[in-house]
Amino acid sequence: MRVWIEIDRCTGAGLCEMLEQRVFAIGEDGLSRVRQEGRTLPPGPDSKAEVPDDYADRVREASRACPGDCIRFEVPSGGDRRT
Amino acid sequence: MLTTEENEALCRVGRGTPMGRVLRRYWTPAFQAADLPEADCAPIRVTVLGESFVAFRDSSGRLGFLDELCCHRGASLVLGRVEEGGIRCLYHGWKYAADGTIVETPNLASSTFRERVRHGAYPVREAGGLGWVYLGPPGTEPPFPAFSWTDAAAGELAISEMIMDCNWMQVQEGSIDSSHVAILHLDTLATMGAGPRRVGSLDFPGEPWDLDMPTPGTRRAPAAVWPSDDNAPRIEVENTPFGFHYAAIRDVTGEPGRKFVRVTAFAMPYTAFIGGVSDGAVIVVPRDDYTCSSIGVFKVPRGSGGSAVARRASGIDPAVWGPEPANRRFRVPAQDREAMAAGKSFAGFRGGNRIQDAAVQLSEGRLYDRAKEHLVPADLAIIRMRRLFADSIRLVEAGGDPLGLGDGCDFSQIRAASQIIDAGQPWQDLVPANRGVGEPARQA
Repeated sequence: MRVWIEIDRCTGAGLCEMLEQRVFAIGEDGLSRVRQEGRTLPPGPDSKAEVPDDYADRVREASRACPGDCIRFEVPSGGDRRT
Repeated sequence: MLTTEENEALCRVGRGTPMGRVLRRYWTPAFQAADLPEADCAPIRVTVLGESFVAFRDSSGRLGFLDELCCHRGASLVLGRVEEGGIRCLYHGWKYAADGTIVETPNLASSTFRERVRHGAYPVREAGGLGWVYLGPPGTEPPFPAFSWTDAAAGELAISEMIMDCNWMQVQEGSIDSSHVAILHLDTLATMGAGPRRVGSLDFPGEPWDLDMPTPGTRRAPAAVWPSDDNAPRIEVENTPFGFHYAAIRDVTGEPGRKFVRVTAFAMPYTAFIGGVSDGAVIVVPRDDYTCSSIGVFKVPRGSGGSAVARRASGIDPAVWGPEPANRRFRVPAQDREAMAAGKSFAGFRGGNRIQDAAVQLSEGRLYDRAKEHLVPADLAIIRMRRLFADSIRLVEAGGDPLGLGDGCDFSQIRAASQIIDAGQPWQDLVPANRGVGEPARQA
């Protein structure tokens, strides 16, 4: 699945990192980043992390919980998305 | 934030809804046993999970829990006569036994009908002063959740019920929400002796204002009441066989290296054991989509369960609710704006925690639209509860069991805690049995 952050909406609450540390991390500016294979991707519209589909439940949960509604994802195999 | 569809799935409880199917797979505390005080007493109407039933106690004292409406032509059995081992409909005299057997049909001579038709009847048992029913598919009852208080004698329990005109999930979320405690309940803390406190930029003097508050009694030294100025607790959540438990962890004022831990255990799907609250639990049961009961069950000294003192200790304020059956519906009391403006009161509601809780929970509306919420890390336990319910919906839809039925769990050992411990000590040490029977407690 593919996950990314609409950084302009991020409030820096940090819930995403608490719910799924494999995919989310809070950067030095206090805003969220996505992670891929243990590496934190830089902010920006082109930073889309490819992560295993079996992370989808937690990513979905983080997306629902996010107070800024800034987490976007696509699960091509399941047709599930929040974009 | 939840989409409209997600919110509806979480909140609606009627038969045939996703959550309704899940909730029907647990024993549901549906009524107060004391409302059926003796054999052949008057029956009661019980609305639970969006359906109406009649509960009665037959001549032998056995409880019956049946569909409310007579299966002949729909008159309410709540009007019926409870007599000689059953309940008789007033309309045409049809009589039902506690197990739903139709024993008499005076306007129908043939016995074949009575042999072939059965009235809707559900397993019901009495425990901890409550009548518990099982509304799921026959034969799928899980083990009964025998909590620490469910085998207590009636005189050892103070039971209070507040009927609230809002969706149950608003109230349930309040039971597992630690970060409001030192904010919404500032007036309670003041009465207990917590002294001056700060909320954001607000300096609250903390002089006791509501001296008649039903909870919680004697004043103590400020640090013994609430030893922390930290209003943003870190929440750590862990699944358990009965659901989950979590710790709200706060810094301790003046004691670096120590932490103030409040552990709350949530037994799916209704019951919270709340840290800092005396032995007992808070139960939230949906009556229908827009009404619920908040039930407090607390152990009290032997023989005092029915007393006014014990009832006050469990938070009843007769000015705004209960304890009489006809008077249990919560009415939001007047808010004392003068006391608020003068710095005497934070919330302006007299009557203690449950009044303050109920006022804000009702203020969210009949069924809150969670598309408009903005959760924060202090809400992690609420997120976990939603996860368990959403997972349970998926499991039940796939033909399986919901989560938290308690496999490997001794329900009587479920505990909450409220304590100051060393910063390095695992909070799970305070509640070693919550993780399940046979699992050794972690070493400190």
